[in-house]
Amino acid sequence: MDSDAASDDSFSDQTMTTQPTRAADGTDQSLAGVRIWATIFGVLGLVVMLISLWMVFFWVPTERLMGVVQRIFYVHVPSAWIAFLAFFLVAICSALYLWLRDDRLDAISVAGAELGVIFTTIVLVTGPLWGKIAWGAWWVWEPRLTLTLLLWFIYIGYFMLRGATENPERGKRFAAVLGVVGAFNIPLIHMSVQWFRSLHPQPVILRPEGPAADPAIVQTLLVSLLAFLLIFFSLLLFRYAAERLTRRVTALRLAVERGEREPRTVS
Amino acid sequence: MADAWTIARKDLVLELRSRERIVAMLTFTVLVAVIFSFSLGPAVRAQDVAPAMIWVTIIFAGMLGLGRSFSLEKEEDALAGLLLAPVSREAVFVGKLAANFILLIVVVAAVFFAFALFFPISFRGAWVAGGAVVVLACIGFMTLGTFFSAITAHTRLGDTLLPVLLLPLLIPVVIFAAGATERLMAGRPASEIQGPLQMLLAFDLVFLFVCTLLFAFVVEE
Repeated sequence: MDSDAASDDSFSDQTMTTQPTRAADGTDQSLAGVRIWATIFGVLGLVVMLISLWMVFFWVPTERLMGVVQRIFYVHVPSAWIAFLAFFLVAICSALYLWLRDDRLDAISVAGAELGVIFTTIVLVTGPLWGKIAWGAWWVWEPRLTLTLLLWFIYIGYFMLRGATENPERGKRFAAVLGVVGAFNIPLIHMSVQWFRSLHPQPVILRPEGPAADPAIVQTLLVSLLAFLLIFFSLLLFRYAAERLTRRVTALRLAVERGEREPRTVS
Repeated sequence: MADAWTIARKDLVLELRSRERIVAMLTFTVLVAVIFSFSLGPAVRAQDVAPAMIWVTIIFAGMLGLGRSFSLEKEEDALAGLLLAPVSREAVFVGKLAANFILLIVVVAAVFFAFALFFPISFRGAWVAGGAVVVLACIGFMTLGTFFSAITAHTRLGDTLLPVLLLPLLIPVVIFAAGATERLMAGRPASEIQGPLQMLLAFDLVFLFVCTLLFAFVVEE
């Protein structure tokens, strides 16, 4: 595409009707490949999610001490792991963005941070639902609960910072910096809230001696973790494609507006 | 290091002449102590809540001063001049940080004075341990504070955004500093606060390193 075409009306018609999926440099402009993978992951994720729901409700035996409320564990724990995975991804991509300044890395960070907020929200909703029955209170100031809440606040700040920065390039830079600082802060927050007090059930799966739970519980957890992982990657890729396309549309719109304004200033 | 001190001295001289930040922070501090004593009611033992109140006051008063730290440099585009000066970005950050830290220490002294005046509290002789808690916590607070003040000065929301970004990240400082202060004021032995002191030190070292390194990305253009 040559830049002169931006001021031409036929240019916008062309982009609407034909499919310029390949740019001059051969890159996939409509991100069709990414979207196909997103769809594949999404379909697989739904199938595994159905299996995991069946396992959660019909197959796995009810836990003896906590009773039926323990079944929320299969949503709560995978969501928490996925949320941490998302923020790990944001931290890595942010650091790489500061180094390489590749717009794609920033798009992944945006997608990852949004999903991180969503999965953290799931954790923060399912946790109190369980806590109300197991602890008798919706909320207690317990280390992992507090850590998740603070994580949520940090990434709300991440989006506020992006939104409040007028220069988009600067916004990306600031967000990346916050992503890196946040990643360094999370272990420290974890240690501080641990020191503060601990009431959460001790880890039953991820512990040095190996899982302590019933094998059926572990298997169900792994299946639902797989379902959550597939759905996470599907959403991540969809969101990434949407973000890239949004940026392209914004850039094109700016180019068209600039092209329209120029003749007007001449006349 | 000499460059950093030059920048810190510039900020302190500016503050000494205008006194705008320090007056606001000190007035705020005393007002908070007064408001707390009115809002607590007679049934609450001040010793139990004083450490928490002290650190809440320090954090908010510090935040009040931090907002000005970089928005001050935005006037007349002074920041551009500062960055064009033949000093490294790291020196600019450390200098700004040092000035903010010294300012905060003055305010912290006033906070402890005001609270000791209004409530029956003291470090009970553990001045060295108490001083170490204050110094370490304030270094950590001002490292992240100076860093995010530079970021929010460039946003549309400005100072409004600063607490939103800063407070969640400051939780370790608040927990360890308030916990250690509470123990000292309750007359516990200084050996009990060794853990919090080490954690505060670790926090300071991590963020002094990370923020000094990342500062170049914040002010680049």
